[in-house]
Amino acid sequence: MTAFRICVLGNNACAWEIADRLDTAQVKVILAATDEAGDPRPHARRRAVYPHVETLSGVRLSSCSGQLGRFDLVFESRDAVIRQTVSAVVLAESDERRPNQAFYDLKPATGIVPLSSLLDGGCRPPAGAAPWKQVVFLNGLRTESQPVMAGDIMRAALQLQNEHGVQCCILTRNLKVAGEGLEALSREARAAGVLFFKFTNSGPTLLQADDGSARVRFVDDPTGKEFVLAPDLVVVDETVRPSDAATELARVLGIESDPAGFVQADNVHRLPVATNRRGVIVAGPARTVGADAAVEASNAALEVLIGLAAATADVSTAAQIESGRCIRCLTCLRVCPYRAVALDGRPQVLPAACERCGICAAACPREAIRIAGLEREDFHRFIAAGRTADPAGDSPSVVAFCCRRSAAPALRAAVAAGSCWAATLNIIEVPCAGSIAPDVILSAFRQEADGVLILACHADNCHSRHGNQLAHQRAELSAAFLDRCGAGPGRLVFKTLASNMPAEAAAIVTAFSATLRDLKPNARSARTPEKELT
Amino acid sequence: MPDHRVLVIGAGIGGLTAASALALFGVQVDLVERRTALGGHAARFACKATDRCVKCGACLVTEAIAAATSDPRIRIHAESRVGEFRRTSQRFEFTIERSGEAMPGGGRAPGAGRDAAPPAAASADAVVLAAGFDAFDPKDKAYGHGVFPNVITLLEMEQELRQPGGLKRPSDGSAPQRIAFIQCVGSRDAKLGHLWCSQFCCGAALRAARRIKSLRPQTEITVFYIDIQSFGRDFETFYRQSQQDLRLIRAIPSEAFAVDGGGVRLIYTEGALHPATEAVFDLVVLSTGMVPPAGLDELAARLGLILADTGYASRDPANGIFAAGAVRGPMSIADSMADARDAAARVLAFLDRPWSLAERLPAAPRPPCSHLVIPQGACKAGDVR
Ligand SMILES: Cc1cc2nc3c(=O)[nH]c(=O)nc-3n(C[C@H](O)[C@H](O)[C@H](O)COP(=O)(O)OP(=O)(O)OC[C@H]3O[C@@H](n4cnc5c(N)ncnc54)[C@H](O)[C@@H]3O)c2cc1C
Ligand code: SF4
Ligand code: SF4
Ligand code: SF4
Ligand code: SF4
Repeated sequence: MTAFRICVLGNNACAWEIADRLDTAQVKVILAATDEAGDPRPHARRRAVYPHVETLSGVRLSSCSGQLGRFDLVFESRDAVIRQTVSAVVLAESDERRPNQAFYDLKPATGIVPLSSLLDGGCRPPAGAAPWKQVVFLNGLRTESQPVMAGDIMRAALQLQNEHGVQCCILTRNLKVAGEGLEALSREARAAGVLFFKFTNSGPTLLQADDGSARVRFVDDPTGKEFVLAPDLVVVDETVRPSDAATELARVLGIESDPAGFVQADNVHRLPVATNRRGVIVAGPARTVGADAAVEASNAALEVLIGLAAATADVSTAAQIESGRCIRCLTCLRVCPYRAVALDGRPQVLPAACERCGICAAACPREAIRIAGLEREDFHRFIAAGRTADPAGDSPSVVAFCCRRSAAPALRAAVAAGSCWAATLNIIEVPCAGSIAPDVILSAFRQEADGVLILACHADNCHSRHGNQLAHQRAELSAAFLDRCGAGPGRLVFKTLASNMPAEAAAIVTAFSATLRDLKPNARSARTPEKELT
Repeated sequence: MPDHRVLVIGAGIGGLTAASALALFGVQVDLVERRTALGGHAARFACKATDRCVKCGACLVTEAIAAATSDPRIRIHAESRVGEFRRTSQRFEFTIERSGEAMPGGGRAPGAGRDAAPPAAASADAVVLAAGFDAFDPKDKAYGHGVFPNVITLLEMEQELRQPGGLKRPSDGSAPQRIAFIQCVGSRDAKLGHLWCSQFCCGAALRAARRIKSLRPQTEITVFYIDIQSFGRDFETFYRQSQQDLRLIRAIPSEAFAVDGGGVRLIYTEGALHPATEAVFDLVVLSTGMVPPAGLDELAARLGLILADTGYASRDPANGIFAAGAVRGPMSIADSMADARDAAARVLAFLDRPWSLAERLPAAPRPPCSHLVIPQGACKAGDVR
């Protein structure tokens, strides 16, 4: 019924959950894996076969061009190059657990194992070996642990304690219980006899004998007692990280990652599963630590289908490059935060990828990029339209450019809550503060504004990644220019806001108007000669 | 295309997100919110950005409200509640009544006024329960909340922090110099039977503390805690900065006393090696955690659901009824959003509604590229405020 084809990159529980949901929706899925593609939990499957799912095994994605609705993918396998055309891409790769052994200066030895080995061995002493009397777990003593790790450790300790009569000790700094059921689990473990030793500023001393066996010495903070443990086994915690395959795919797909390398930017506007590239979705363990596979899969499937609904929409309002004016400087290619400019001999906007942030148009040195409603004339018109005569003569005329995601809703809420300003305040809502070109700022002054406010999102909160930063730079540039023209300082102010800061937004506008009133005598001198501006 | 209707109870970030997701797939939604304001708790929080956004997620609720209120497929019933409720063979029939519960602190609801007149009776094919949580009421704790003016809860602090210039002391409006946060109030508390970590409050307190410091660097802030929970994508960095900026003390004060001048004295012990210590603060913030929302048991009884032992709802509490967000137990704004979309997906599966219907819908509106002049108040020229 539908011609959509979705490529799911990954071969874990989450990837298959996504495939399952899309298959139910009768959407074709290509599940591509670097290893042998196969459902890792066949017993958990809802159906024996997925009629709409096709698998590609042993392939590596080497390029992805195109846009939401049509991406051209190139995969490489050992002996072939495989091309696929799909409507959207879901990155659902795995995470990895790396043992923290090195953080604790412990050399590999039989009595020292990473948590995963213990879990993989079924969490019991190996058959035939002497039974364990005591097991020590090291948890988050050098780096901060995570609830997933604390949960696994507590479950393992509880099992060893209950089923194998092993005395378990968990040595931890902050016990991470911010996950479903973990506080209750910690109490259950305690009640079963698991000992928790918590460290604040100090930590245990780990001593390793020549035979590899470890002793653990520490002073217990709350009681002040000294302990020396000689456990049969030391279990070392792990750090959860995205897999190398995930990191590599993020690079190939051109999507942003967070500081720890997880394949989604640390930007709340990408939540839950979006990326900076429309039609490329991220879900599962490589997106964030401790993600619930089923929840991630629902989100990914909904996001894909909602995105495709939008892709079929009118794309004629996207940015357009006038090839006659373009000098191929490729500024647009570099500044577009959404990977919506592609190079096909000359730069071209991919209409279904374009978010219409206006950043490219403001940055293009040739004014070669046109966006309906965001042309220079539109800005001039809005600046002119808001210019209201002030009969009393003491209200400064202010042009306030406001980002539609932060300052504009904040000011709207302030107005709804009763704030009001003189009619000489001209509030212009822009899709992103990065759409305001320096000449637009200056044109506001040319059109007799006493002052210009540029209100953008806080750093790291810009939907268009760096629109706020670009706006800031342009504001500083323009302010320097105004200074040279003798307009005096203080007439151009850049501030950042969030949409939930109505009182702050109102205060900024009011304070700015007040400053301008003090500057009044200089007001009209802010007008600069026409020729200097062009 | 089958014309499905879904009832969503609660218009916090969870209910709003679920309603919008369902509407995008062509489902008609009745969104019932007992308060005047939409957005639930998150709509009352302050932005905690320092020199940059600290990713608390609170501002996301603005967009969620805008999306739900602008979708014609969502009927919003603010200041309303579900009255009678019964299950018929295939569907649910219910009435929507006025709840008479205004927004805490008065104020007008963002997006209110668009709410439909309460229909005497309505019906739905499925129900999403997104009633959220309540912040724990610390009146029975020995911290003097409600008695000492300068002992406030995290939620009260959030509202104060929304004002420009930052936090003020309730007793005299002065800027507090020494502030204490007490973590885990009402959470991780076996005596209360609250065997859960509320998950948000370490992040909320540390972010708020650093916001306060960024506004007034000379403020001294102490955080009393049991364990600091990880939050955000770059917790190690944030935690390191917090350890530099704040005094983190691993102890929970036992009691609070009022001292002259509005101060609050706290008594705490860090362990057997340390003597009991006293310290006086200008303001004490109680990081009160989450509890199941008031009236959830009564609502559950009416909907015919059995709640979990913790008092929260389970994921699919009854056939055709789905729970989303913090009503299932403590979760963050981001997790509530993801959970709500998962609930929407489960509803679509339950309705056997072809998911690919989204493609036939009018496309989701793309960001406007025109400019909007905010309507001006009826000010006289010069009447600048
Ligand atoms: C002080 C504080 C600070 C926080 N800070 C953060 C933070 O920085 N970051 C973060 O991620 N999370 C934070 N949280 C957690 C955050 O509030 C929750 O994750 C989020 O609000 C959950 O959304 P929800 O929609 O599930 O619940 P709620 O926000 O509680 O919304 C539920 C809605 O349902 C309504 N309702 C309840 N019962 C009924 C009924 N019977 N009929 C009709 N309507 C009903 C309520 O009025 C409410 O509007 C914080 C919480 C608190 C208390
Ligand atoms: S920025 Fe302008 S001139 Fe430069 S390549 Fe892009 S469209 Fe052409
Ligand atoms: S308007 Fe924004 S999204 Fe569109 S091409 Fe230009 S920079 Fe990219
Ligand atoms: S700190 Fe929170 S409210 Fe402020 S911009 Fe960042 S996410 Fe939004
Ligand atoms: S998040 Fe922190 S303050 Fe809140 S209950 Fe958990 S440990 Fe306590």
